[in-house]
Amino acid sequence: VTPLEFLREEVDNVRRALNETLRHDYGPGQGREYYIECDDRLAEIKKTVALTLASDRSTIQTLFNELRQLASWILLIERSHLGEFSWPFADQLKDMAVALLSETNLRGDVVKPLIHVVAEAEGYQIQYETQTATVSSRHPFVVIAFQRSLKNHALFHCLFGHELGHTALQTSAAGSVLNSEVIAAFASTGPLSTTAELNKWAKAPSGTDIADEYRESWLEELSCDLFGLVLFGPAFLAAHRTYLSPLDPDPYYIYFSDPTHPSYAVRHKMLRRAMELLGWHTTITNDAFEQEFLNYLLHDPFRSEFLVLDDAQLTRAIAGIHQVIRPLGALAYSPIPAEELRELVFMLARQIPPVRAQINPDGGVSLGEINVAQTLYAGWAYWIGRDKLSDPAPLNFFQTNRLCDLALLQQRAVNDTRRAGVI
Amino acid sequence: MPIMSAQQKNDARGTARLLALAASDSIQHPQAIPATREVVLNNMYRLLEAYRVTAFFGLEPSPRPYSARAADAISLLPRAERNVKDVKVAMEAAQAIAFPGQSKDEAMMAVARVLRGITYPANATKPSDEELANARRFFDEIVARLSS
Repeated sequence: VTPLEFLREEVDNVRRALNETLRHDYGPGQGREYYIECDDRLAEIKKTVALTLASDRSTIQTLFNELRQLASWILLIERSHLGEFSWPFADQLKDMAVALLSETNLRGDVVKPLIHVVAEAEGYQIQYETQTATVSSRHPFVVIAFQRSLKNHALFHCLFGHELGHTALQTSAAGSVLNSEVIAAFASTGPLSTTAELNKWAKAPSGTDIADEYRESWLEELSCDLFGLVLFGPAFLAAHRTYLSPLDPDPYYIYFSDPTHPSYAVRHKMLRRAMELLGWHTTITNDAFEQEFLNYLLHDPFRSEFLVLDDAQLTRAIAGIHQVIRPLGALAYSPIPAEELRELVFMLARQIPPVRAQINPDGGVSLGEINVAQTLYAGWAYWIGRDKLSDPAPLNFFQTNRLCDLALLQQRAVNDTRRAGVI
Repeated sequence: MPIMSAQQKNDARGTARLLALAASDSIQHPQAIPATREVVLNNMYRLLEAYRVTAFFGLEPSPRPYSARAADAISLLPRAERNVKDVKVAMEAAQAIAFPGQSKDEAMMAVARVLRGITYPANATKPSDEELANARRFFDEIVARLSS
């Protein structure tokens, strides 16, 4: 079997794999477009293979790669099980991803990404299809991977804000703004301005200097942390602290062998200061439970030199992120009125999903619209501030998360009902 | 350890070379552009845009010879591309030769105008001979640098 013959055989094999998929039911709107994209790509590859000479080994190798990539996308479609992740959150995330990641082609047509959701052992990842594209794609794939073990822990899901930042940085529309306004601001002065400055600041031991690609990685990670905060609000910082701080027993530690991320203290101090600059450091309700929540977020025992960005840098970067997320409209975080927040938190205290829907004494129904970030703010405020509530039987963390996850589902229905003008 | 070398998987250089080859060929024979080239040329455009606007185009996770953890090894998530930095270096060199003295934005927009002109002639301004020649030189340089 020659390399070209084997390549042709592989085209047929991938076709057989595609034909054998889609025998199950998937979430609404997922299967058909995904299948068509795979089918179109395979047809495109087949045409290219037909024009390839047996002597053109480089092209044969590239097409093998392309086929194997396609086979991995085909396999992924059957890895998406609604029972393994929070699909109300996934649905919201898809809306955000389409608004943020759509691009235009040469003719100016909008090219929407195809969003696919799965659960993985190590989750909270978003994989955007390749920086160099492929030969055959029409719509790029975006895979959103939830962490399987945290299926019910809705309060952590806003960590996807960080991952959306990474993905947006790779797109032409959002990426150019994030590059010119956020990355440029962070690199304009201070420890992140040059590799020499970073090494001076980090006091790298002899022979373990941080290379420039790692400085770039730090710029990107900090940009994505800030992106997550601006997109999902204070709930992002609560999840960030709760999820990451256990992994960093020494908050100042820099792993000089492979320093892909800044130390935890750098990240927390930046987010904390950004909270203040965004005006989110004071309570909405003036109630003790919310003050307790903010105390948790704003707690900062770390040394001052670990704040590596000044206010001017952060302010410029925040403005840049606001510009990028403007198309998301009401999907992005904004504080809700005090009465509404109180109502949501007190619902949790009564072990009811925090949804803006009430049955009035006259039997009528009052529906209010809030977004995911606002629901999660209420959830975290309840959890961190629960000792300040007159709560006879406080929920545990799992129960709080479960009720918030249910609330995301119910609130979505409420929002859709309101928009449809049904009530 | 898997039977295939990690270097043989998801090599971005091959894709970039194939895209540039198709773009150069399309400039040389615009009248022969079959409908299928539309897909390839739009993907070339996507690569140009990624190179033009992505802050850290070519930044890759540090290479590991094989997955250190079982969860990584059996994950079905697509592998990260390798050697994107080589693609970046090839594009920078090609830009310097085909568009000396021009910024990255200017050069890539000029190439995109040519691609648009040959892919959708009814919707775009016809590129001049000089624009066509510069764009072709850009693509040929990429092919040459990624073929070694």
